[in-house]
Amino acid sequence: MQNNRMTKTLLGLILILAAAIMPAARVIRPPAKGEGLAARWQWAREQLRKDSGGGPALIVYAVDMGDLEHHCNRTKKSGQTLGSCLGLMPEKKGENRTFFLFRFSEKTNGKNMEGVRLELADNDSEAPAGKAPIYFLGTFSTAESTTLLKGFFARVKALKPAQKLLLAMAIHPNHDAVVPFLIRVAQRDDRPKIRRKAVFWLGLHPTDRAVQFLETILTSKGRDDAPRQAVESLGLNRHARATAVLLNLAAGDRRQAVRHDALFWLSNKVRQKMRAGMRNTESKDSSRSMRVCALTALAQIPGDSAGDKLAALARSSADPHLRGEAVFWLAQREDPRVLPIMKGILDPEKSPSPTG
Amino acid sequence: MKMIHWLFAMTACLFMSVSTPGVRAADTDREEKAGLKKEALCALLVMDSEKAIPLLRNILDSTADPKLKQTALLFLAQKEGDKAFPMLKKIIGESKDTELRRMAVIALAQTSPPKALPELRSLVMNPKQPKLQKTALVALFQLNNEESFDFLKNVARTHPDHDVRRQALMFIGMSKNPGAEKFLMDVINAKQ
Repeated sequence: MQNNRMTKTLLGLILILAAAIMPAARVIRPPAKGEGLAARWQWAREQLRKDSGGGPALIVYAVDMGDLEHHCNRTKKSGQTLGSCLGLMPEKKGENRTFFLFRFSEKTNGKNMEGVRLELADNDSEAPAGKAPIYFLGTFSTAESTTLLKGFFARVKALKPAQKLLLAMAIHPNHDAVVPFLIRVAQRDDRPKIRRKAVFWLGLHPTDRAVQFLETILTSKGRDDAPRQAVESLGLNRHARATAVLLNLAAGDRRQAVRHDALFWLSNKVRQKMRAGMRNTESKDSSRSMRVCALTALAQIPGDSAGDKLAALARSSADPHLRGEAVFWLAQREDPRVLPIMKGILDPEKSPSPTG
Repeated sequence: MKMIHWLFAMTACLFMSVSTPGVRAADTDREEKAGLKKEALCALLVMDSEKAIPLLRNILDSTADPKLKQTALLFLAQKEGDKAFPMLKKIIGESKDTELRRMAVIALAQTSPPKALPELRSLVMNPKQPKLQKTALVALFQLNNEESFDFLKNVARTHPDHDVRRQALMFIGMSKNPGAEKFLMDVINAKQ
């Protein structure tokens, strides 16, 4: 009798476990294996037309982005994760899956992609709500993904979907495909907002070509706000040359706004560099956070005396976190002493270039 | 002429205290009315402040409109100055309206600074009401005298709540007190 009960409990547990591991019933996979992303996309579009007349449904594929940090919704709420909904194994160390979810509705015109809503997500994002079928195409290389997205971008006229596609392209780490694309869009797209966005996203790609292009924007006669956008993008760019360009701009550009922005982005770079080696627990340490807060309060006091103290901390504080903060606040005061200190810390000559 | 002013003030007050039960007015309509009521209050104060005080007390005790209550409290505290202290203390201790209590804390520092200090100190040290705790810290900063500065320093060093300590540090930085720089440098250079 007791054995019987035990068996039933075990069976129940196994069933619950199986339900948790198995992909949701609404996930549909392509029958053929070994096909590329483009072929599978075609299959999903045809299937979608047959099954539900065009929507509502989702077509989803994944790309392993490696170490690149990207901007997806990482806040997992209650409920099933996207990864487990699609029946994928948990991410291994060094894996960084990004999911591209294309939402089709009844109003969608699939030919020119109008009305298709693109969402980016990661393994731990919440699984899509509702009962709409999910056509999961599989995991693909960054090259296949950028080729597909480029094709979509060329067909989209509306601003918002074009911006989303641009972002989706920009987060791919294969610079060889993405940088020329972004430069072409920044030069030739007829939508000013899209051109601006393309310049901004070049900040994610630490390559010579991206930095060279941003430098040409700084010297060319174009829109008044273009140089400041280029400075912002250089500020985000981790290439050593981007830092060197910013140092030159901050030291001697004739435009006050450009000098000001360059100084701000340099101070951000210093802050990041000084925090880089720090463990999370170290930066959240209570006594350090009090000292950083006291430094921020000190920076609010006007006058030379507080400025002198900030400069001394920026030059020689033994705590790198505190030193980075002192540089940041000294830069916000536009104190002339800050630039040599920044040069000493950032030193583009010695910093290794992330990629060619 | 004074009689006319008084009549106008009474009418304004009547208008303020009239409610419309059972009628669900649109939001904009309600906002407009609230704005008008506030303007009527201002007019009342400009015209005859002495006679306005009992009316303001009446509004504070009887109106259900929280915004109007807050405005009446501020005006009353402004007009009565030091005399408003017992009323403000009572609101801080007994009212169920947190916003009104916060307003009373700020008013306390503005109207009767010497009496306010011990009250504000005990509020800052009371962990049961974190919202009032932070408002009391703002009020202490507004007092801007040596005693309040000394207390802020003490809070920054010893308060059990990390956030309150941080906030005290920021207020020290903004205080314009000549001792602020040295104190902040002492915190920065303190051994871990």
